Amino acid sequence: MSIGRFRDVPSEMDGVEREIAAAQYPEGGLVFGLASGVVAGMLTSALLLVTLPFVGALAGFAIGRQYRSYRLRQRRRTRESGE
Amino acid sequence: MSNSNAGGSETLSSNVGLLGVLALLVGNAIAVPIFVLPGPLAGDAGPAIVVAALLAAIPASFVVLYNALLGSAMPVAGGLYVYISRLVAPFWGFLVPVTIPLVAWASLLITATGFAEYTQIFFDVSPLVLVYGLLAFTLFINVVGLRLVAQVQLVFFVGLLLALLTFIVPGATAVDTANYTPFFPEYGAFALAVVALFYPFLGFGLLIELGEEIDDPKRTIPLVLGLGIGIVAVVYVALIAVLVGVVPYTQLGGEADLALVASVYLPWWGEYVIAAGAIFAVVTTVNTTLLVFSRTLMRASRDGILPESLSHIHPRFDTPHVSVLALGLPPFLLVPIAGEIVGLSTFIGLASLTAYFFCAVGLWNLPREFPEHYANAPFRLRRSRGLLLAVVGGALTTACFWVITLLQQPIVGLVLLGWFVLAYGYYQYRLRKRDPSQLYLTMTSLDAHERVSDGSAGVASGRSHPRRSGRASTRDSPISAETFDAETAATRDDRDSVDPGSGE
Repeated sequence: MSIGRFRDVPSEMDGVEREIAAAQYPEGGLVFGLASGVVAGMLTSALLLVTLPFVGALAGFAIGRQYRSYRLRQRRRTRESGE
Repeated sequence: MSNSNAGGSETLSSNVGLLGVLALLVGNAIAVPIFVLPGPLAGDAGPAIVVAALLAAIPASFVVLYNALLGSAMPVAGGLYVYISRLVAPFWGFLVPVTIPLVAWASLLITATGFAEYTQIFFDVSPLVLVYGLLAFTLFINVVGLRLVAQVQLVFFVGLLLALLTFIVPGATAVDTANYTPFFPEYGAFALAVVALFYPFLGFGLLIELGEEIDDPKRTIPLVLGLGIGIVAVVYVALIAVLVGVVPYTQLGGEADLALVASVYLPWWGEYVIAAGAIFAVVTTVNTTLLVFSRTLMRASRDGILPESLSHIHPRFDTPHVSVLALGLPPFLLVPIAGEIVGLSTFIGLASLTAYFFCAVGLWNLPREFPEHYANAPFRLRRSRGLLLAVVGGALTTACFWVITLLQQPIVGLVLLGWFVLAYGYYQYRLRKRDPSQLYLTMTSLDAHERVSDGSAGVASGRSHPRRSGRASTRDSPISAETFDAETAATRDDRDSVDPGSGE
């Protein structure tokens, strides 16, 4: 899956990038968002059962990307301060 | 995630012609589910399941197409797991071996239930005894590695076909068209039947095993796609049309309804022939079911994302006994839900099509990620036309399956998603036990023997990716994290300075 400017080509990544990429935060966020959407839809109405999972998946993926960026910045700061 | 019985693949010669591939595929696709599913589905959806069987052939066509394209471009061990992890993302690939056990358990329960229902026609034995007996038998022959020889397998398959013909041909003359009304008694049940009837078509997954062994693939594969799906769809539709045409659908609902309906228009021996056909189908299915599923677990285990024990080979029986036990033991505890045939089939259909959706995304990525493999594939589609259509079509049918399942059996969708959530937790746990950087490399690279070996093809010779330097060569070869770091260290600072948004 293309992950934008976060390089998804292992050869172009450094160790930190690969470590963060391995965690698959956007993909995990998507799954959590999808499941949350289904649960929310089941607790509300049939119509929302169709729409909420989609919204949840998108939101989860976006949150996952943000979290991945945050983790990458954090790791880089840690590495730079260590050096 | 096919329940394909690939036993036959081991007896293949190096080149299999059109008729050979067709016979293997059709033989693999016509199996236990078609004896077990129509009754319960017809009881709810009525005569409309005839149309449902036709509609289920649409996603099945996409699946066959994905199998054909990927199987011919990248013949690898581990099937969908390898394709999805290498071509889409490691976690989506990881979901394949993690979800395969659920599919295997559901598949075994359906097979055992069908076996029990049809065996009771011959012997008055408790169905529970028969279900547990079949589960134990399946586990035993897969652990020990006993296999029916090809000739015996063929005899059983011919018996199965004769039973189906015995049901369909005379049955066609016994149809009362009044039984086709009302045609759509319940639309929701009809929609669910489409999802559930996708399961019997999954036997076409065998095409992925044949890949490079097909003779003249450019001509054979498209022909097999059309003919194979057509033949199987005709058999399914004819069988179901007879089932719901001979008796009112309100009298249907049992797993052994084919035998019941056969007794209406055939002599006394009719139901025994049908029951024998179903048992033949069971025998040909259980032969190597768990061993086929275990291949994917073994590959994921070798990658390090699943425990190493799953790839252990038994010193005496030469089988992946730990994988087989992991797949074959839990169904003993799940027998209480074995009667939920429609729910189990829906689960298998949904899980499988979801995996194939990611497979479609992988197929779209294939020319970009592994251009040499795609260039060497004997059967290709243009990316902007055929490939795009295959991917969009697959995405739309998958979305439809999810919507139908969530509206009709939300618990099935929830169980699958809940499993995915648990899988993500387990994925993180596995990452902590390994070097995540190295694991990421392994899960995005092919093994050395899976690379395009022709020096002119570019991978082995290290030719650069057409758009991004170094991509093709590194995606195709498992290079250690240290090597990567050494290679990239010199340019890291420069790259970071020119790509400030790299963390984005």
